[in-house]
Amino acid sequence: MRLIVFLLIGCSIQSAYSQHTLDSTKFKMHYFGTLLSGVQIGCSNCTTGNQLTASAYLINGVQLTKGFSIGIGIGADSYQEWKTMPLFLQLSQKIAGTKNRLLLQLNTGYSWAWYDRQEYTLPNFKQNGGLMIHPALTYQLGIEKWTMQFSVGYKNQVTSTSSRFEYQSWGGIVYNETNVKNEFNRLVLQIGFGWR
Amino acid sequence: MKKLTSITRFLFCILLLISFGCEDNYEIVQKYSYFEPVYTTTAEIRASVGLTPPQTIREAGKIYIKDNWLFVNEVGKGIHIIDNTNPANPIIQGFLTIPGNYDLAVKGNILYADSYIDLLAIDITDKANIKITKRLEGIFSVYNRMGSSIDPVKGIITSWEQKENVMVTTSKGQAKIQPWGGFWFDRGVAFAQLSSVKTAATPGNPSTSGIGGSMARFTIEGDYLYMLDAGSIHSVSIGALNNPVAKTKSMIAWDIETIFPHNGNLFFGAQSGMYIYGLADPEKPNRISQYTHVRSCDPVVVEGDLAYVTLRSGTNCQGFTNQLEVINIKDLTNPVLLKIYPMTNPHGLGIDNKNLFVCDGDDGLKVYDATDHLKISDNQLAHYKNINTYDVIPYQNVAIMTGKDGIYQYDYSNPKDIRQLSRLTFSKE
Repeated sequence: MRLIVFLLIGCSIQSAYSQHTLDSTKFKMHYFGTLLSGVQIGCSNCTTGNQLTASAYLINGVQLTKGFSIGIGIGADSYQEWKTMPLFLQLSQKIAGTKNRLLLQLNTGYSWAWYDRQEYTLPNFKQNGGLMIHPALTYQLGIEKWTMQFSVGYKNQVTSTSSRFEYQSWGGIVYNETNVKNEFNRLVLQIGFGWR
Repeated sequence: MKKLTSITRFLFCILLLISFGCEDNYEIVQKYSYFEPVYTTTAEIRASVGLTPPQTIREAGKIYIKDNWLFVNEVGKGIHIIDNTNPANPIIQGFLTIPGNYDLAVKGNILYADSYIDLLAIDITDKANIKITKRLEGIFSVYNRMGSSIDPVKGIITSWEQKENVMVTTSKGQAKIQPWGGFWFDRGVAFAQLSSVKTAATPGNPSTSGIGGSMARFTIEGDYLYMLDAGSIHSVSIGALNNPVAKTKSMIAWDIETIFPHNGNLFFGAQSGMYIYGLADPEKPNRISQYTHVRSCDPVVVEGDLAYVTLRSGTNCQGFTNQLEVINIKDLTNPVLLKIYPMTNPHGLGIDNKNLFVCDGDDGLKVYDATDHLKISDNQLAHYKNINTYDVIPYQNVAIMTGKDGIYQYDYSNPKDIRQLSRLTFSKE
């Protein structure tokens, strides 16, 4: 995962250095909104191939400079049995382009999570969300009131479950406690539009 | 051209991402406790039987009366021998160490006691010089073996030691939660339920045998000793008292708990009901009928044409029922429920000449006049509260009751004026 993040950053920085054309028009800080939806590609059991699950984000933020924006987002993601709702911070840096721009973005935050196999009535069962890290490269068409966006990224999401049950054995009460930490890795392809 | 270079690099990055793959990882941390068996060799167990000086009672199991002697089982450890000539002042005379002892019965001067897998016949004529006259080795195949088989080298499981373990598993993919909680053991054993270990002893023929409680798993009827072994019954010929001979073993029901003899028949208390067996062939009891009730623990006693059954709930008993049932057994082939009386958490019970004693757990000892079996609750003679009661033997106007903290004796020669005679307090160490 870390290797992929570094790779993305590396590629993006190199692209940024190669960009010499800067928009010289005067900038005014402004609000923006983005709605993205798409698919997450990855596998829990890769012997049966990749699975596609859904992902959607709604982000609201502020364009602070010509190239840099910050936003708060909320999302809804699926990982087969798991569903998550991330609340995240988005940092976005333009690395290329003027009218149509290439953006390097980092979405990171905490996700609440639900495991939807509730027919397993495990004793003292708890389901927990965890950190979401989602770096992405987004191609933005247009910079006026409305924009189209195409995004590709890599998402790392942590969830966990715990259960504990006690039972009588020959010698007395014994317990069994199971903590499962899942780390989902997904290629995320999203399409959406933005407004300001 | 620069734009083209930028897009090319962008696409190159995507390709690299895909080539890395997006497989999930998981980590399972499993922490569990278990009891590891502690083995003792059969030679060691058999060598450790013997009479020792009097000891304080710590955890009383079954009780048994023979003449003026009271035998109290120390669960899993042996038998306290108590001189009960004066019920107002019982005196502990000695302790018979018998590892793995839970049940006992007496006929003549021979005490029959289990020791894990063995049955011992012990001559108690001289209480200061007790001798083993016979040992039936390995007769118990299931009972008291804690669900395990005997290891030919290590011996028999005699206790359990609690252990803890943590297992960490990491792998690719997603960890699927198992419906059973996903517990794995790399060693040791654990069972979902503890079968009733602290059970009891029963009345036999008072002229030659002793008297036990309602929660017994051993009983004597005629020249036969009957012993429950999990769901089966052993019949052992004791025609020659000091030389018991194993005869048959037959299945009754997997949830059988207690045994009570009456008029040449055996009444078995099981979690699912009461079974009535005949002794036309005393070597091989034959089923006459079965009375079914809700699942719970249920000792049974019989007097005349009526059987009295208590049902209780609890950790090992399942169910939610706590009551006393009166059953007409005049027609043994068709037992009929006559009346139900609600109770708190009834355990053992005893009846003598229509004086019904019920050990109602934490609600104490209740005594009823059962002359009118349809109005038992209206005729309560006494209620001793603030005692956790377990089992009772009413015999010859003295009721001997075991509780959590001691053995109590009551004089019921005048049922309307029942008096406590003594209390033998258990050690809390």
